[in-house]
Amino acid sequence: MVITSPVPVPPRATQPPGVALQTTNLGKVYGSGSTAAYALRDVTAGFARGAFTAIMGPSGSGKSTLMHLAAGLDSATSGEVWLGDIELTALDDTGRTLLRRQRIGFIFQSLNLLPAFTARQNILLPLELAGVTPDSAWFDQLIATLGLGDRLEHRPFELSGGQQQRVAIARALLPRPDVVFADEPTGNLDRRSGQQVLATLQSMVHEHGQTVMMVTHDPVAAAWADRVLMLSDGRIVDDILSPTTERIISALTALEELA
Amino acid sequence: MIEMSLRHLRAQRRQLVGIALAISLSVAFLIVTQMVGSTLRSGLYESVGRSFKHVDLAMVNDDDQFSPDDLATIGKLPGVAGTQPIDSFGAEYQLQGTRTSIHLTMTPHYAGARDDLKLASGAWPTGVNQVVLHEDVARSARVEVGDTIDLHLMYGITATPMTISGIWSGEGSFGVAPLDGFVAEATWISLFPEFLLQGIYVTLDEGAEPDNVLAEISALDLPAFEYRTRSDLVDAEMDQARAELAMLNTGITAFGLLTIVVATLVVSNTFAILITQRMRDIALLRCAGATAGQVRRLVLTEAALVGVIASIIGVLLAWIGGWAILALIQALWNPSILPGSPELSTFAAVVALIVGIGLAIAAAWVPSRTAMRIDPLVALRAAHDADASLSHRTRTAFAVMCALVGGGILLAGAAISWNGNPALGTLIGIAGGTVTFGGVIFGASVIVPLVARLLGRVTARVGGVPAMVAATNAIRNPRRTTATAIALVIGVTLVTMMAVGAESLRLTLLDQVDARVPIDYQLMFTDDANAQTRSAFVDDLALVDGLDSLATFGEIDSVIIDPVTDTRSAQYIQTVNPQALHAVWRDDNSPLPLATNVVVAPQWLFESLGLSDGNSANLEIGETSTSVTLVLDERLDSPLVIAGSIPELERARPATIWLRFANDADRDGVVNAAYDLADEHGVLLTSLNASDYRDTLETALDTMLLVVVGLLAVAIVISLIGVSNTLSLSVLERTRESALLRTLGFTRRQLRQTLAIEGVLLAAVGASIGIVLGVAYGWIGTITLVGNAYTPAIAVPWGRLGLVMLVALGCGLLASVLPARRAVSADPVVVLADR
Repeated sequence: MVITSPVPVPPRATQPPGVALQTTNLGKVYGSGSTAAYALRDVTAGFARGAFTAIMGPSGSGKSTLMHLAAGLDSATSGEVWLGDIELTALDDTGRTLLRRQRIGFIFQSLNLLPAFTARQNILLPLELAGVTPDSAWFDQLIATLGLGDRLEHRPFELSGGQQQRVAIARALLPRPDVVFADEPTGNLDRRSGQQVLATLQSMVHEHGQTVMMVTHDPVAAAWADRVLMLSDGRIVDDILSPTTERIISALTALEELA
Repeated sequence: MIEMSLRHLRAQRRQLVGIALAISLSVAFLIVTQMVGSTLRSGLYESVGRSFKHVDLAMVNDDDQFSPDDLATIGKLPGVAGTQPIDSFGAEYQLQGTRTSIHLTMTPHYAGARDDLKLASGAWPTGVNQVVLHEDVARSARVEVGDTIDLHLMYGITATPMTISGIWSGEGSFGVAPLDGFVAEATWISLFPEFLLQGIYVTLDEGAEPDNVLAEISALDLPAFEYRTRSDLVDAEMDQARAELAMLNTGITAFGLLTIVVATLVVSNTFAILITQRMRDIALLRCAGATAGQVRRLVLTEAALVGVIASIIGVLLAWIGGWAILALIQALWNPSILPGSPELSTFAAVVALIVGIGLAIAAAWVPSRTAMRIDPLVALRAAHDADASLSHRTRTAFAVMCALVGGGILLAGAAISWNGNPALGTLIGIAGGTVTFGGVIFGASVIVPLVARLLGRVTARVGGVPAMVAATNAIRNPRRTTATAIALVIGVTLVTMMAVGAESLRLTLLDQVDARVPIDYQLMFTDDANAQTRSAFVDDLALVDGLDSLATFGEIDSVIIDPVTDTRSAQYIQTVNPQALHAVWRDDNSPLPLATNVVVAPQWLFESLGLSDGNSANLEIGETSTSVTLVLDERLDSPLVIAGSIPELERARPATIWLRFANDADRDGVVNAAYDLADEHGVLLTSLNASDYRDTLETALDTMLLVVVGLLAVAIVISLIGVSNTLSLSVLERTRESALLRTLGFTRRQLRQTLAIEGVLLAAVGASIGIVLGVAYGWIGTITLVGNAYTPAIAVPWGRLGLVMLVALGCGLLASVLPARRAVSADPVVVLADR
């Protein structure tokens, strides 16, 4: 079954304030002719502002590709990506790079931080690049919320996995970006640290209105989101609002049976 | 083992380029230094052989002499094709107020020899007053075929006008003594009996037996002699040259060895980095069952293989380089002593190969030990930057000790020089310098990171975020930064030391000769002409165009007596017209304190009389004695008194002339006119001018500096290859970080900037340490070298030092270009997705 997003896609010129990111007929092909590999086919989806969206699917489904294109890390072969009123797909590499300083935030599964810099320096790096003075009140609040107060001057190798992820979160959130992209943020963590990270992400969304898009293969992690998009073979195949772990597992199983 | 090593090498191809380059360059350089020596030697051998081509026997006689008849008699013996005197005679000609001496000999009897001595034009001299001159001499003397030249044969008082019958091209030769021309046999015979003929060259007919001819010669009634064969003669010539060449060779080889040392440091550092990057692979090997010893042998085998390949390349490079240098020398100077192709002995090539392989293995020795100790568990863990926790204590202690001891030795050397033994002092100084430098190398792991941190902080503040990242990266691995910088420090220290030393020496020597007197130009008579002749010349000289004024200093015997102790000092005293002196004197603020009955004199006169400034003395000239006051002025060389103040001074003979040029005069033109006038009047002149001395001195020092810097250039290039190696390998380690930076908002350009700044920073650290050390060594070196001969002046050639720093920074930038390219070429997506 192919289901498109329940949120209607508005015409280009008028983006309602409710959508932080919009993809229209997005496609990515590697190679050409008989050796062409379609990572993403004709994906149209809107991601609501202030919502926690999870993207799931088996490996090869295109979920990472979707995130990369949505974040402007890679260029699409067809279709468009809109970040608010900016067409990402029309920008060149430098243009997309500039966006990543303040309007897009990242959290990866591991090796998130620059090993030669302290936690503080890592957190402040994107804004330094943008040449913008950070909001010190917001900075203090983030640090307090994430419990990093006594870890700021430490280097990454002096921090635990969970602490490193929290530093990464602080870095991603400090500029108050339009969207935060998280790629398997709990993949390398033990259960307790993972739960902490997910709880933090959720609270950032619900209490501070941050938009978060998370790629994961873990149904338990995805259940923390407000909405789960299922991808298979480069297309959206399911869209679950207010997901529960059971619902997600049954959807995944259904996918397996389809294949 | 070899197969595995080869596979590893192939996998790491790109990383090994830097290592191979360093090894091949240093091996090539070492070979070239040897080639120069052996090529010069064989070229000289060929050239000497050529000059003795027509000499089969030489008869030498130190006590007695031969006569022209002996020459003729031997020449008529069966089996003898011709004879030639070994000794040439001297002659002089005058041009432009100076006498030039040349060496002439008899035109060879033997037609074969005459044919080889190619005449460029004209014919061999037949008449008594004919001469053939070497084309260089003809050019300097400004004569051509048919012209007449006045030659003072055997430095005689009278000159003989001789006609140029021909010009000699300079090719062929008879023996190795310098030869400038030929006269007819009759002219030569006319020089006897004053001319000393102490040797005869004998040319034999083809097929003649030397022993038979010798027997016949012995049968003649000749003064006792020794005979020499051609090979005896050649060997004797070569022996002297060999000694000089050996010294030159040793000097150049020293630079070659220094380059090898620098290359070893660079290669060792690169190997260390490579091992760090392969830690995982090596750990996996150990997990798979390789013993520590096997791992070590693997690393060393890889190194040896790289060494072999790089050395072979080095030999090829040297061969090409040899041709290039030879072509360059022949294009620039065309010296006829060089053979057509560079000499590369198999022995030298083999030695160089061994050196190259030895270099590689020596460089890999310590890294191989590191590899040996890699824990198999490392394969399962993620690696992180470890701060280099060396045993700082022992290193620092040793470094400080070396510095103190070495410093003490340096000071001792300087002190010994001051006490009058500069040779010994310099030797000790060199020892002290080496010890202190050893201390620097030991303490490098403390000094370099310190300087790097300092410069990094400055850079980070001035630059933006890329600078901050670069500065952090540069110091995150202190051991690596230190190793990279040290190679550069060695080269820069030596270059700076030479530049500072040359500049300080120049100032020191110039201080002595500097125009203590503020005048434009000085001329001094060097002939025996009388006062009238010289005065006539001066009168004409005063009329030369472009000359504003001149002052003539007369000279006369005198005795100055201390009236109290009756100490006498006899010397020449000079006189001058005060108005004339004032006219040529360029500094109105400090004239010479001339006054009536005042003798202005330098310190040595006071010392010889035991008097001081202001004392009275008696000036005796001829019969008259005048009471005078002695006034000190160190700018003079001899005592000076006003002309005409004492009647006897009339007899003074002009000795020196001071000139003042008109403002827009053509100085060289005026000087040439003066010399032409000197020829007309029959006087001889010489000029003493600080500017001439300065030019000669500067040229000599600059040439020496250029040669030394050139020889050090290869070492510096290799150390900069080291910077490039460090950067490019570090980039490989940081692909994930670079991708992360790109993700966070670094543009491609900023990433390249980061690497550029890092390269420049590394170079700056090495160069600044090297410059500081070089200046210190240069100063101490100059002071030690000069000893107590002069007052040493120390200088800082800012311009040259700035150039050194600029070149270093530029090369640091250049070294970052390829690594930067590699850093931005990685697609962040690909890198980050690769979990």
